[in-house]
Amino acid sequence: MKHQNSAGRTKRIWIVVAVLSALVLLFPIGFTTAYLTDKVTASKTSGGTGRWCSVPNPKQHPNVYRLKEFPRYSDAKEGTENPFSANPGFIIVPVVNTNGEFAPTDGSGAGTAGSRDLSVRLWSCDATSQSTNSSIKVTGWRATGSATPYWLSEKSAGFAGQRLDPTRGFGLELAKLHVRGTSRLTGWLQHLTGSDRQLYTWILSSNRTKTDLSADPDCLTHLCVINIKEVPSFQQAFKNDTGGAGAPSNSVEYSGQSYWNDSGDLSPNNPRNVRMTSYSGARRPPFAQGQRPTSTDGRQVQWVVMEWWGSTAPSDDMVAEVVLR
Amino acid sequence: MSARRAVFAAAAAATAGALLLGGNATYAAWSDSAKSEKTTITAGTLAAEITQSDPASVAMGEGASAGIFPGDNSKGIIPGAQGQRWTYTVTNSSKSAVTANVALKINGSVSNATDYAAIRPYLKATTKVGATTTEIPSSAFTASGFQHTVKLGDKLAPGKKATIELTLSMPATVTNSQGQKVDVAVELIKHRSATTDAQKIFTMENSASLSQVGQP
Repeated sequence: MKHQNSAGRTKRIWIVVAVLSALVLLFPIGFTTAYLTDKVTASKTSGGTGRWCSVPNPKQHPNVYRLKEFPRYSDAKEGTENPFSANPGFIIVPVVNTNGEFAPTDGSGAGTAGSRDLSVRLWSCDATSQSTNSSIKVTGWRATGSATPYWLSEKSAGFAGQRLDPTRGFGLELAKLHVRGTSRLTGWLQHLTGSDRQLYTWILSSNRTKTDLSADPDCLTHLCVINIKEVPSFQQAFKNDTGGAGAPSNSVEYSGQSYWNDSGDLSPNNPRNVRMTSYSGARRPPFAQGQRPTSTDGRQVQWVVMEWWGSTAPSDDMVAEVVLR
Repeated sequence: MSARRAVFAAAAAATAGALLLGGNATYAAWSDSAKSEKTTITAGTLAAEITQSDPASVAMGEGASAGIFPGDNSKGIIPGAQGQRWTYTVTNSSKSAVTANVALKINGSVSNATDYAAIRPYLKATTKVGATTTEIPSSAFTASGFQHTVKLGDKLAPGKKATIELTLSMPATVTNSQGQKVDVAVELIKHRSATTDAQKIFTMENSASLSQVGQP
């Protein structure tokens, strides 16, 4: 009995093995296990640019100066004449043609290699600060006299980051010329005479406004007196962003011009762009007190004086870009 | 059962099996696809769902001090100041029987060729899943658009969901090949929108894929 049961079990096992083997033989040797996947797509959506206004960033470009950050002055530290009675914001920057420090921030042209024309471009966005209650004046000067230059703490490395102290020494000399013109025994008339005339570069002065970019002071003969008095208000000097248009119009550029020739002589009735050659002086910033760039040639170094004053303070968006292009 | 019967039974079983399977014994994976805002497709035992938000404006940190002044209520990308963010929620349906890996495929095409060519060098995209933010490589942005697949590390069990934030933006400043700093907002201002709505420059049709865990 025991032998018969064992034989029967063995037969059943063989049957199962035979069935399973037959099934296995039907499958290809390399069969693939299936995995599940699914994909779902969202509806179309679009994206792009928004609307904004912008001005060059002074934090990234040393040659861009925010008017709001100009130091305010109320008095000189030397002498009896005070060119700061209007409590202006005031800076003096040495401008030279070197290392692209004063290249246009938007890369819009570098001019002729080796020489660049001086200009100042004003930027703004908001019209509310562009009032008639405040004014702006920008001039340039060739080096003059032997007064000692004093320097404020530099804002950044390079020429663009240097600030001449306007309250004493050489800086005060420039401040007086900029504000009041040639000194007279009986006061100041806000015009230039004598040798001061061939030191002067008008940028945003002498009747320049955004609607008259090419205004020049009268100087028909060597006897001329050059007027430096007429300056624009904020509203007359700055352009603001016009609403609705894709392309903006929030900058205006004022070129530096003068009546002096390459020899440094007065050249009446012949206003010329102030064209700066590559700076060849050995002295580079930072400057010790009493030191200055090693050239008095206005084509090597221009001392750009920027001033604002009035009851309406400039807003964050009002900047001045000093450009050599 | 006799041995003969056993052999006959095996042959019959094999024949029936062959008839059922056909001449090819390889299984095909089930899949399905559909296009919708919120879609549930039941394909076998794996089902994916996706929701997409309208783009939201997100602050990028820069503003007046950097010379950037966004327009009031302006939508769209403002270099340095504002990005656009889409939020996707991908769900492994509770009807699914398997845990799945998740991938988000970003597929962008050009709507305005001139504007896109101008912004493309500055365009950046990131995805954020949980606390992890990943930047999409710049090589993903080509002249014809941008494509990139983001594989999420998390696996989704049935009924679970994952949220992915896709943010497109542009920086305030870049350094060009000449080593000069470029204010992107100034550089691109001619390509800004004329209204508070975003200038339509690119179009996206993004999708989510689920794949069963264990798939090679």
